[in-house]
Amino acid sequence: MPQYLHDGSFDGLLCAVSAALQNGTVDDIVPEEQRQALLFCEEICIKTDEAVAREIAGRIRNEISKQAFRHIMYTHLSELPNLGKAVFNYISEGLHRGASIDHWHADPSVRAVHEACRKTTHEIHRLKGLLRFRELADGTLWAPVEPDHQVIIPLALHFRKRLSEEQGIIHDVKRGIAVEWKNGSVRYVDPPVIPEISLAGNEQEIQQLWQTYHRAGTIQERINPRLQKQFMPLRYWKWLTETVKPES
Amino acid sequence: MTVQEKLAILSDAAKYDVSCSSSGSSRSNSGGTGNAAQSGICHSWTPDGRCVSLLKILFTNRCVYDCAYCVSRCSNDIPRTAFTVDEVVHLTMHFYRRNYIEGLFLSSAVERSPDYTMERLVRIVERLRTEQRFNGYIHLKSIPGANAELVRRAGLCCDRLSVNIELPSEDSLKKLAPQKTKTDILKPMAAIGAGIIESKTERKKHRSAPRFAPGGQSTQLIVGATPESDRKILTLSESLYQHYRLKRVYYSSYIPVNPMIGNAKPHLLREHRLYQADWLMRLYGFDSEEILPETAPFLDEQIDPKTAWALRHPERFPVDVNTAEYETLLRVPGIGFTSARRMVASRRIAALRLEDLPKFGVVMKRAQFFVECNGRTPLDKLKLPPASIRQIMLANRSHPIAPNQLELAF
Repeated sequence: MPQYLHDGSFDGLLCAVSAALQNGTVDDIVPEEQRQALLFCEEICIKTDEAVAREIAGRIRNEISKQAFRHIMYTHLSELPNLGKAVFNYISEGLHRGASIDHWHADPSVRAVHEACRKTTHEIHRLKGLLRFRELADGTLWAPVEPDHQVIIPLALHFRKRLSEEQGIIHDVKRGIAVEWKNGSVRYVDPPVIPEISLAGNEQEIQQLWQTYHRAGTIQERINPRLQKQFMPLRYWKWLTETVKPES
Repeated sequence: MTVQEKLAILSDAAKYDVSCSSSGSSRSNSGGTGNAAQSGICHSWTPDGRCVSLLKILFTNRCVYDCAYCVSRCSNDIPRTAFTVDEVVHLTMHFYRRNYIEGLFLSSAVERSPDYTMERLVRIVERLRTEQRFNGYIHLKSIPGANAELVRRAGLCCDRLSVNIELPSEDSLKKLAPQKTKTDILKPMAAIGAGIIESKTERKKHRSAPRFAPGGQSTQLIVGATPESDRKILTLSESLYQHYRLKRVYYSSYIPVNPMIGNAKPHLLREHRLYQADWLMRLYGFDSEEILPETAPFLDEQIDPKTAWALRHPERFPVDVNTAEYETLLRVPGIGFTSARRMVASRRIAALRLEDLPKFGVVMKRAQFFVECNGRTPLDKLKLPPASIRQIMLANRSHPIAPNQLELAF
């Protein structure tokens, strides 16, 4: 059974799935960078072809469901390893059974896809709250963040609607990428260089107000830092305004 | 006084309002700033583990009332101050665009008269909505005794309105808040409820009819400052849900901000059990009579109310996971509505097996005593009497609960 290699993009993944579906058998589907040479396994490198990706994406939307397509996309954005085979099983079984595939909670592949999708969705929801914008000297809002999964595009879509009259940059410091929303459109931009960033004049004052508010809102009699960390894990604290000293 | 100092004082005084929810409204952004998320979004958590979703502040803490449980009562010697309308508007907008908050929760002490205070609160929210074109979430605490026209104006700009019922009975209200009356509280509550229903019916006829508090109405009561039993509290909540169509009743374990009444420490476990019971009433189809029969005035602190109910009704168990109705599954300890929904969906495709149950999110630690599948139970037909189940459950707990442990010194 062959192992399919793709370039790691979402289109690449879809092309590999498409090739595997035609072939009928598959050992695994992995991005090239995670490739491990196997002794008794044929390797097939798949070239990414946008037309092929679009065709299979259309089939997934029409023959399974739009929701299933979203599950696959979010599974990809989760960047969790070893999910290629589960995604393949989910799609091939889904093309067979239709939308009811999402009800088959006991199946290991369906569960793996749902689980990865849930992790991404959960982080998106969490960061819709935990993202903190700083106003830059030119009025742009800038939010640095280090998420577990690749979530800045869905986040930018959220803020494009919410703060439609502003423009802002969401900066994934961990992956070195950034997206910008501006006048209703969202696109990738070069990430700003952090030491060169200059903040707006009143930014520090507002940050202090927020810290004051956060301190005053604590009820000492109920103090429970474990509970706080359960909801707001420490790995996010680095970029939160209320947990760092004011930036200069 | 600077805005910094005002904010420190007026948010400190507002923190005892429990409601943190920003859900239930899906106001969209029609060219302005902000929108509301149907699910609500939490933005931060304070070291006490409570979420920060809205900018929760008092407009002023100058109060004419002297309620025994309140930190802002007029007989307390504390610094008094008030925001200006501009200050509240600017704080909200600055915080919102930096994504610190989901919206504003505006409350106030009663300065001069209820109408005088309410009028100022309404002016702030109206300015946010019209001048700033702010479409984020706004929760306004309606002042007891305020005039109906002001409440109507508030409902048209806010996502949620609330009136605090404060204490579980009229006697307690008389004792601790002698200047507030039951009618003062229930009248606006009924008016808000009527406004919500009216707007909903109007919107069915034509979609452009104005929304009135689309996020619904909530209230809060203090537990432990007065001697009412859990049974009395739950019956009260049930009637508030049924007759006033409230979205939520919040329970706040009394924190002794003033010497003289109540315990020395908040009784958090009691509060937790009350919330569990409240959830059973709102979402699991239980009524208060089932949760606490007449013979039991207080909830069992050692065991959650759903398990306690199941142990009182051994004749209803075990439940067959493949044939039981959704409503019956919901009543099994260890099965919540997510897992019940998954099970019902999945068994249309293939019969469930006992070993699948954890995959649906069922907590087997509790459910194992109450489910069966084709005549098999996880414990292999071992039919345990309720007393033994209780014992096993208490023994297996990872953090044993000592009675009233939260009242001990830390």
